[in-house]
Amino acid sequence: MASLITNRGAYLLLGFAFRGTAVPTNYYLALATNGTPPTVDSNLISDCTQIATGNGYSAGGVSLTPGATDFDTYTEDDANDRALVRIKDITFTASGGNLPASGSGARWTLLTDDNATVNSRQVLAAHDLTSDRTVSDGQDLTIQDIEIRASTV
Amino acid sequence: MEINVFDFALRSQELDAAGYAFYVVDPAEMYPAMIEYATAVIEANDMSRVPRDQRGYVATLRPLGDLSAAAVHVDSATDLDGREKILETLRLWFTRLLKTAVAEPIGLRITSDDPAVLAYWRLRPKA
Repeated sequence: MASLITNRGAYLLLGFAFRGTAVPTNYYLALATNGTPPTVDSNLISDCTQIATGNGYSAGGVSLTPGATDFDTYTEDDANDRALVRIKDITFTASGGNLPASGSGARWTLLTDDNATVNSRQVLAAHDLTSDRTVSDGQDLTIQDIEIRASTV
Repeated sequence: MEINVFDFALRSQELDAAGYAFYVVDPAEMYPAMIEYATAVIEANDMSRVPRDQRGYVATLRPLGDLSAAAVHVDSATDLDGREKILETLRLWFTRLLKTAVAEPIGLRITSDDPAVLAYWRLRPKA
């Protein structure tokens, strides 16, 4: 699964660690189409195209709390000179019709901060789901193995 | 078609303050064991016996052919993509198996005292 940390995300993460910037109370995992694919230059959720809301998806996605419950696996990989943190499995259940309710399927996840205005949330990382994903009423869309990677080379 | 991840995932400390249980894994033990396990699962060809959250790994690995090829260190650019995909999928699968077995948040350190081992199991040679 292709993934990227945005430049804004790297800036924010360094700020959390060394500048003393307040860590968001929550992060959010949003779903986006491939209409405007996220890149390392994506800053805000409005730079991307969220999937249509409804039928089990709310604007901005699902809330994640910093800590062991939602970020359940940390890895230090000396063979590949990197560190990774993995998000727990996230399930969206289609309810009342297809998810997404209309338009293109979910192609990307976006890890964002928790600005009260959804479109103003900053994108820290994006993960490619490799194809447009749509599930029908009652089915689950489970997102697993979302990792945020920091490489040292 | 069984694997005991604790044969090569060694608990290194008790839960830390944040609630993570830490394990150390030698890539020279983990990857060969996972290649053997994944090969057995694929050859069994019975997805009903594979937990739902692990079926994606089988689907990813099945088209890649002989997984044991990934146990051979290669420098050729032509072989790197396939080897990387296999090893990354096996690492994800192993991590899921360990997380499930531990049933707590985990911290994992993939390491070896031998630099040659780390270089051997590197996804791509250093430039």
